[in-house]
Amino acid sequence: MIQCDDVTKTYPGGFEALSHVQFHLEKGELAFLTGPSGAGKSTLLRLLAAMERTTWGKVVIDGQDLSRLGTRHIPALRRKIGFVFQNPRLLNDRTVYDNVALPLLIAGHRPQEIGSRVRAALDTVGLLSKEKSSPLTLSGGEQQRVGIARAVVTRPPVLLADEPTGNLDPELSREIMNLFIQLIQMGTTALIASHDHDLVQHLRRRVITLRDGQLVDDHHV
Amino acid sequence: MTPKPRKPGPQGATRRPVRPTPEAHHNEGPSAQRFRAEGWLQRGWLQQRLAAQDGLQRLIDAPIATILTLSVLGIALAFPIGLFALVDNARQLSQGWNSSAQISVFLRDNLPSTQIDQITAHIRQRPEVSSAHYISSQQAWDEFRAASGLGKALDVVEDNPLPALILVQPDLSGGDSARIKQLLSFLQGEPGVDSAQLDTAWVQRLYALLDLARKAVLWLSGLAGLAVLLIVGNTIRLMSQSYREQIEVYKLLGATNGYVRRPFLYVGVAYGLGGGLVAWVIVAASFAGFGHSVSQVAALYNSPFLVTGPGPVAILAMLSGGLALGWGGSWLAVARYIRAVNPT
Ligand SMILES: Nc1ncnc2c1ncn2[C@@H]1O[C@H](COP(=O)(O)OP(=O)(O)O)[C@@H](O)[C@H]1O
Ligand SMILES: [Mg+2]
Repeated sequence: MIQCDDVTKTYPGGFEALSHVQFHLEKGELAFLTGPSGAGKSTLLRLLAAMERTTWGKVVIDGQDLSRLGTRHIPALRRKIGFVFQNPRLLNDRTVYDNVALPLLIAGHRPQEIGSRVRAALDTVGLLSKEKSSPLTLSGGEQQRVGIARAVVTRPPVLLADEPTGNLDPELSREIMNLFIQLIQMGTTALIASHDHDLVQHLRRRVITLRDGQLVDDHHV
Repeated sequence: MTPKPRKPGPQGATRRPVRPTPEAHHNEGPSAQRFRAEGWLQRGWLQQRLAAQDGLQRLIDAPIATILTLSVLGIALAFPIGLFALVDNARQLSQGWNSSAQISVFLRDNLPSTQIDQITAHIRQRPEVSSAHYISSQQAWDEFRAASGLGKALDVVEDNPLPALILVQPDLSGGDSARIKQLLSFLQGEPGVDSAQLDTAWVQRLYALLDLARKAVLWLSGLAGLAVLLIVGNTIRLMSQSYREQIEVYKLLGATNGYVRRPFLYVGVAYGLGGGLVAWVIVAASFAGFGHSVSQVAALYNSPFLVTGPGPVAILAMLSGGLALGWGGSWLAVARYIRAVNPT
């Protein structure tokens, strides 16, 4: 489902953030992407979300080769991907409900038909009671959970998360990671980046480790 | 223009009472199937409606900026429309003066009467002539003597110095000076004609002035249109910049450039239409105010002249022009920007 072949990314200026990275995630597989800060985790996820292009090698998602993907086709690709950011990037001028509803509206669903899906997503992250609040009134952990609800509400085949627990305390972090694992049981392929090596080791899943842009370890804990 | 949090509540565009059904998360349910069965036409219409709602919401979110922009647009559009209606009124008024525009065609001395009849008949055939009649030099002399009040004193003058003439009444329902000029040069070219003179040259000048005024108003309309394009463009450019973070999020969630652009285009359309409506109100109010005074003055001169505001065609032109300019202005402002914004 997610395939990286000899992926190399050189940023303008000549810095090689990724060199010859190679791995493959099966459909429904969940893996953690770890490594110290600056290892290239965000760069890899940005390549997978078509926010950057590879300098060399091939990134394939759901059979689509992103290095050959025309700009016109990027929106359709992104609708297949749920993305969770370190900073959840919520729209603060809208309610929690409207934030979570957004991907469904962009996908062309009727506002009257999405209520149950939005509420179900908010329910899984435990924030159903906050649907009418502004994101500004929520705590960091709650905002992150709204971001997760928004990423899963369309039930995308691919889920990417970049340090989803980066700003949270250890207990909340474990909670959020468990939430992911719970959500992934529906056949979603997921890649979750985290520099928190200990947290990731506890979750007993496949762990891909990057260091200085190189894939140095890939094993199932 | 900073977006404020919208009031949560049942008035929110996307909220409808729906029973919470957690199963729906695992099973797409009938609504999703119905959605897929729908044609692209309904989907397109839905997208347009939601974008229009979104655009209007953006205007409501910044009420002061919206009111100020609409006023500026209204004033910019009111100028050409108001002047256009003014010139139209002047044209209608001057049409009443056509009857006083007479052409005196002076004939050469001692023409045989058969040639005079021929010339008169020839002149009457012209389409722009409503009537023509011959006045002999003797008739002219008699009339002059009666009108001057000098009576017998003029008997001293032995030879009648007045030439014979044909008085031509032009029919100028179109009211343009070009036709008068054409007629004059035709008359001057007739054999046997000494000279042809428009008695009321000032009417001709008035027509020329009105022609000029019409051209000036057209030019002004062009400038006002450009102003609307620039005002809408700049307003929406600033607006789209304050929405940059939102644009990035939309794109990350899979929105196409067109999807992101649409609400902005509706904002432009709303500005253009709204500006047109404001202009209409300004012009109508001005004409209602001044028209009354003008009618009072006209009544003093025994003239039934009524000032009329812009007609339905002018209003329609103003509104559709505003709409098109608003749409075009916002397109110019955001299309490139939205394409260039790439989420990071
Ligand atoms: N847009 C960019 N231009 C140049 N260098 C960049 C850019 N983004 C990231 N880098 C560099 O690439 C390296 C990897 O960054 P990143 O992928 O963000 O690592 P991580 O997410 O693992 O901390 C870093 O050294 C960073 O400075
Ligand atoms: Mg990072």
